[in-house]
Amino acid sequence: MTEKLKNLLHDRAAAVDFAVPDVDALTRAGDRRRRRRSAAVVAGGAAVLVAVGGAVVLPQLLGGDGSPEPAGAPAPTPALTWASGQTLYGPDLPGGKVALQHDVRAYVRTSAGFVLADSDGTVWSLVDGTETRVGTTDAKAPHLVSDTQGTLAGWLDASGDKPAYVVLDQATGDTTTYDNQPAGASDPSGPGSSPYFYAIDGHTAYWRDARGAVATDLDTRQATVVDSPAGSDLDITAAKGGLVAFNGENGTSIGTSPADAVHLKGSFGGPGAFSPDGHWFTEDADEPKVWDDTTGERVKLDLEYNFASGYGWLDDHTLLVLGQDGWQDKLAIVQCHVPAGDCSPAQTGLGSFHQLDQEGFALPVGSRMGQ
Amino acid sequence: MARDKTQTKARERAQERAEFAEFVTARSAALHRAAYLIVGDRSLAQDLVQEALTKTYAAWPRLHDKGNAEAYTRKAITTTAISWFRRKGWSHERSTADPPDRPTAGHDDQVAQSTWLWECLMALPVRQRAAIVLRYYEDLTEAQTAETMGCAVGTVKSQVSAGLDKLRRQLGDDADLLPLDTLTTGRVTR
Repeated sequence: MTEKLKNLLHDRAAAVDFAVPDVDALTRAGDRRRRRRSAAVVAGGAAVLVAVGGAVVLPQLLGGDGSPEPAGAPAPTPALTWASGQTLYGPDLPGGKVALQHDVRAYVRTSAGFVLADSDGTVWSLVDGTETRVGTTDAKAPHLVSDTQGTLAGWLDASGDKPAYVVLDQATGDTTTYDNQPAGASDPSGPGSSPYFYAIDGHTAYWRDARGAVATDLDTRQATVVDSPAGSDLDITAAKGGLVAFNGENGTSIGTSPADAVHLKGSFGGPGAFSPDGHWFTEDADEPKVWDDTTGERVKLDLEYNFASGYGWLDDHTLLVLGQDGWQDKLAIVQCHVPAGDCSPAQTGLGSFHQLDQEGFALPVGSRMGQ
Repeated sequence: MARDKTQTKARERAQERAEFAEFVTARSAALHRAAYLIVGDRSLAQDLVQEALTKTYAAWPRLHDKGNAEAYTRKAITTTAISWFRRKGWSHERSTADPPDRPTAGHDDQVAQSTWLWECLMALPVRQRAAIVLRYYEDLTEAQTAETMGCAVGTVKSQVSAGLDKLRRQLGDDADLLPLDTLTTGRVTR
């Protein structure tokens, strides 16, 4: 073919001249965006395709001009956001906030947008300014998972005859439902075998079935047992690039299986998050903790808060920490550079825990605060 | 101490600007050409590249491998173009059930055919056109195209296939213009 098509493209492209852009103007505009960003920073079963509907149009969420930031080093969907009541806040959101049509009990982000659960247990997908109802999950204890660098998010839907795992692809809007019991597996008995959606890593989902914690290839539906028996919701706390954070008696270990996992020194276990490149791991604790996954060694952070906990990542080397000086003091989001360890406020004056709890405060970690 | 820090930051900022200026000078022409093929409008292509380069400079400190700056900018151009077209509904305006008229007798055949192919290409939805430009102008592999468009390889295949099918339908039996075999491309350095 395409020789003519290729020739046409090259001929047409060569026929137009463009002046070299004004570099000073570009850097001034780029600097403004950086300041705005940092100011904000201050600030195997059967599948069933489920039709989506009920679109609600919202303001554009992505990028300074509304277009998505390219993936790669920076995430296309703003990483620094929080929700309170029916509002999603974030320095990279237009006007710094977006009014939603419902409250937010828990939410996550993907490279394509946000997935939110409201107090009725309804799950919403927010992509390109359009909010769409995509499913149902536990209203009391909503739990969403996502791959922040991919387009998939997931949750457990227990509203039907039997619980099922649901995976949403925000690139297409399609949801796929997976039975939680593998063919031939014995019936679950006891709390240890209750279904739980641990994490999504690329096109691999980690959840629990009667065999324990399994990794399921979402394309082929092949499941591999990675931890058996698994009995706690925190057996697996995160996954990234094939690495899994396993939660055991001695805290968290990182590896492809519990047998080869590197123990994180000083970890007590708990929900955590990998950096986008998988090199670092942070864990929810009363003090911010971050480790080098390759060695299990902790990184020292220069941070002075009476309470602080790492909860997510701005990019490969920037940890997001929720901090508070005193119980009555207002919360702040702090960014800490890893491994340098220097920290600076990203967003201050969020309100006290009590106040935020009353209003319904959520960070993009997939669960209710304190859940 | 604080003064040292300030001086260090100023030096870092000056170095960033110098690196970025060098990148813009070296690659902006190529980036403009690709943008022009995606949007089909010179002025819009300039706006698009300016927006993409602004994003690139804003992300410069986080682009740990500066060799990836062009890939980052190309991705910004593509995703921004798709976003602009989607928001402004241009894809609906330009994507067409009514293809441009065939070249009429009396035209210089080659020029007429080229013009007609260009019009048919510009009538494709922006995603299909972007996929074709990335594959057949930029010579990106399917995987590289998928990375640039922020989608799956399967989506690239389907977008390219759908775009070429439309062109073939509109161009009729001109096998030379649009042969049915699939092109294999390799990345070339320009």
